[in-house]
Amino acid sequence: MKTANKVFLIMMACLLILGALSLAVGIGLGGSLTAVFTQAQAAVTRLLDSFFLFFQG
Amino acid sequence: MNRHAYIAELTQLLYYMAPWDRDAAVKKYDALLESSQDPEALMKELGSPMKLAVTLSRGYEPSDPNAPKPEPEVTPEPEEAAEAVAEATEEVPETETDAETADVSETDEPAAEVVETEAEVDVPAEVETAEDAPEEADVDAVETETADAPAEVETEAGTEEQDAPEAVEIEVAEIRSEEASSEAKAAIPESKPSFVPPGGDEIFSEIFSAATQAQSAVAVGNSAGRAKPRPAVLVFYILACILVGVPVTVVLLAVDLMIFLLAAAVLVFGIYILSFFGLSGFPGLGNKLVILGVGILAVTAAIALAWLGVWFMRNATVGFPGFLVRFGREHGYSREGNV
Repeated sequence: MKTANKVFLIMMACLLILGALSLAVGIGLGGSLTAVFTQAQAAVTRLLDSFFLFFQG
Repeated sequence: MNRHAYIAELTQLLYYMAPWDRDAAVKKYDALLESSQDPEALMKELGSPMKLAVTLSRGYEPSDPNAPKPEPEVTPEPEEAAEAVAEATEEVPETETDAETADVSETDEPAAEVVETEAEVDVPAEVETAEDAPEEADVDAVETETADAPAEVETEAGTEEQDAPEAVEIEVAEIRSEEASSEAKAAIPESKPSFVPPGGDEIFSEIFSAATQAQSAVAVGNSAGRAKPRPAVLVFYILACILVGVPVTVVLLAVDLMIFLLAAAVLVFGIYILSFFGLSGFPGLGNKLVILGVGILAVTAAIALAWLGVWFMRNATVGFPGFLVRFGREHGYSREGNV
């Protein structure tokens, strides 16, 4: 395996572990995953609404 | 294979030699083939270039470029080594023999510096040194090849060349005197030249790869223009490629673009999630860590998707047309007459 592939895989693994740990610790400390997704969903909805409203008129 | 192809291939295979040794070897065999009345038979006798290169590599010792053939470095007293050679030649019969010891005259003068490079030494047929000399030196492994005319002594000990009217061609593997041995070791550089490969196995594996390259190069040169297209097959194949290959390639390209779009969307999503850090709706360390975790995971997924898109493009979107072209080249041309 090439060195670049090894570096890429190691970087991906590190990011995955870091993200999972942050998420787990955050939920453990009382963070709300639902609130984050709700906020994201609302943002996406607003974006799509403005998109379609733009083409409607 | 003609003489030039043989020599060209041999030249490539002798890459492990020092340039001056390689040139000498190539010139030698080129001259041999050129002077031969039947070069084909001689090439058969020598074997393939690879076989010859392997044979040469077995006994190859790089020569010193700074001290070529003429005269080796002669220390104050070269007589002792010269006498040792002379003694060896005296004791060597007309056939191949091993001279284990030889008497060498020991004078008051210091011993000659022995250089472990092969040098051709012509020694007079009649040497009168044994009588005066005490027995003090060892001469090891003397190979002799008889000849009717002038004697030629090849020895690892650096000695001078002398022409002799009548002599025997003798190849002396090692000649060293007991007194001169220490000086010889001091004179020999400890480290081998950098072009000497450390292991024999590497030599042979690299020789094999070099031989493959050389043979393929020769084959390409010989087969150029010999591939004949099969028009009927090619026409049908091209039509099939247009009817089937192009739509399939377009579909694969669309799939690849979708993968890249998905990766971009996930990346945007991750970055957007990370922007929640500044919002007031997520108080506390727990929420911050959740945002960080989700954002990192989204970016990681985006990178993985982008990698998947690149892999898919190389192996499918580009790989499929490439396969069609290779397949057409392989089956659309006749290979008759190729080497």
